[in-house]
Amino acid sequence: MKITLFIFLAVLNGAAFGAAVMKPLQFWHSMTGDNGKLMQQLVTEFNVKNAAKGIVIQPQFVGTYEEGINKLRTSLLAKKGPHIIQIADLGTQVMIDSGAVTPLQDLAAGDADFPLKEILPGIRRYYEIGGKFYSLPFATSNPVLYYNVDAFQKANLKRPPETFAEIETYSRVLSDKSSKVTGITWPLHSWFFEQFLAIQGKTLVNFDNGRKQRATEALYLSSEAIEFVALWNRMVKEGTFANVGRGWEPAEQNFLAGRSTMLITSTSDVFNIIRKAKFRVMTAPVPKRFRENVGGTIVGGNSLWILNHTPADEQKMAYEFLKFMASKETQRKWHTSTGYFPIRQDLIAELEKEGFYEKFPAARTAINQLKASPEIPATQGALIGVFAEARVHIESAIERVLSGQAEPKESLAKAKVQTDEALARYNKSFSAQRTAKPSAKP
Amino acid sequence: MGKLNKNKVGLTLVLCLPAILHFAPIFYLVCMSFKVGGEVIQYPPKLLPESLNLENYRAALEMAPLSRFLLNSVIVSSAMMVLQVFTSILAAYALARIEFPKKEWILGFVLMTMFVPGEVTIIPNYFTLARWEWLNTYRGLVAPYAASGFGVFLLYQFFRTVPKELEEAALIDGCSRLRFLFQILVPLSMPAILAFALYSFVNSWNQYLWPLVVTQSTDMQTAQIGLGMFRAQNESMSWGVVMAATTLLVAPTLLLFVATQRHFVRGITMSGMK
Repeated sequence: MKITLFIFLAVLNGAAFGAAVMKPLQFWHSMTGDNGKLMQQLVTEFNVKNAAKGIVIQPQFVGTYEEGINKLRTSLLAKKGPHIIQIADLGTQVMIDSGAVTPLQDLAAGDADFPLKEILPGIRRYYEIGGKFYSLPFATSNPVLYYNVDAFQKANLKRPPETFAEIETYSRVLSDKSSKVTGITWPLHSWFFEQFLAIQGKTLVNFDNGRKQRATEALYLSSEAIEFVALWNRMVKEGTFANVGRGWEPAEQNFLAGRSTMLITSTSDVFNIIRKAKFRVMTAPVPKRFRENVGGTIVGGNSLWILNHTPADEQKMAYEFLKFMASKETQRKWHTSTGYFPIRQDLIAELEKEGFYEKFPAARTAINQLKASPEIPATQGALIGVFAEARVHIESAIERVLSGQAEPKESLAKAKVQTDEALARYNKSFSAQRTAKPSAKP
Repeated sequence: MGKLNKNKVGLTLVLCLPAILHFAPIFYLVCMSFKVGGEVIQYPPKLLPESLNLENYRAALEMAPLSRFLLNSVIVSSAMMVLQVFTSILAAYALARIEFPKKEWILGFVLMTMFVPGEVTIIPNYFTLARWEWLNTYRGLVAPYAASGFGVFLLYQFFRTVPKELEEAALIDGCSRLRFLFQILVPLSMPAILAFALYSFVNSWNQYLWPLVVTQSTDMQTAQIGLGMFRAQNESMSWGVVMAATTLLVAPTLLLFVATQRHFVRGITMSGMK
């Protein structure tokens, strides 16, 4: 009791001291629910540890990622932005182009302690841009196939599906029209379209997913893309796929309520799903179209950025916080209580040794899948400035198909035209900006 | 008399239907807030919870500083309401009763502010407040909404229905304009003023974007942002907890409305506005 009181006083003291000498560093995040609570705990822990150095992080929830970006735009105009902001994967290019960030790698230069080398290759592929980490990947995940082991046993299925054809046949076997149970579901979200392209080794946009140079064309019309949407559509029409619409939540609820036997969604929820399900749950890699496809999943999630409008010493302190977030202890807490995978290979090795994955084999699938993904542009993920828009185009295209308004090919063609236009617009505005401000070069 | 009663019974029955329709979501919300564990995702779903379990409320209060958010919302909404009512009364009185040049222009200008979407003003307002160092303060949250074009127009309409002779008589007896306004006109216009006050309170209670942009620390955020903390993005949502938090956050406006709805309805119908 006395010790807690002492720590409490120390924190108060530190906070007061810090406030007098140094104002607290603003950290904007978009974590909600249990993850939000955990984020708060991590920040508190950091503040206790660094009270003596006078570093205080003030976390603030800023709504969704989109709302966070909008708030950032407004505040940067008045030079009142935060020190650190958490941005979703799809905002990566926009953040780099904004010219408002200090690349993490510049701050980490000369600091041998920073674990950049330990970052998993699959994550590095996404976040190392032009040989440089601009931000610290924090919460990262990929999709996995969850399945109801009890229902599989009842249907006498020995292993999860591994190909598109098997998804279809399994779903047929597992569906039961009379009790309204469907075989499989996943959210109507562009993320799955992107992932299934990557799994077939196809990029979403040209120029190696926009990694070689700015992408100018959306590649939604590859036969792989069309076939995936057609598969999705066939299963919906047959009644073996539960189309529960946009948003992540309904598909998961459908699975948990036992109304879909399989679910493809992010691994970030693995512990939650296991805890909530009233049946045994196991995970498997996302099925490929053909076994011989050379492809894999892309990491999704978010990363932490340091902004460059604040004084250098404050940025250095913000960097200390990122170092804490990348530390083994923090990563362990984050991984083992959320399901997002850790960014560090050494931590995975450690957990492996401790037998953590023996206890939670469902959490290992995502990591194995990430490790097995080949080093190709398709699995790096697209790097475009208009990702949010492109997602709307893709989702609308899929919706048109599933509701019977259009054929996969013509619907995707429309989305392609829309995204191409958006890309052209973005690239044009950026090149105009770049001639005016050469420092913003990526 | 018997016929009147019959009519009344019929009317009540007819009105019951929309009342049930409107009340159903709130009832469902409260029911959901008591469901724990697998009850929420149970299929087929049941309406009533198995027990009045307060577990979700405990979890909701633990997850975010809801009491602080509620306090902030009450302070901000009350301040905004008082300021809007006060400024609207003064402006509406001047426009309705005092003759001065270019009055129609000013009235037109006030009305035009109602056509400007609030989002457009956020960036300039933010700049101004940033210059004054008013960000992340109660005054910063309230200041841009201290006046309301809608309020001015509503009260303007109402003030004009009060006979002019009343004011002339008072002025002849030596009553000042301000005294007439606050001792005679305001009490006479109470229904409209209360209706507007309630409208203004609910409006500011429901604000999301401005408080989100202008606050910079958790202890200045309002209830609506607090609710956002429960809205999962791509992780599983605990519906029971979300519903418990929502119940706590809608309760104040709901109670306020129940307490004052008589005035609200009267004020809106009497001023001839919808």
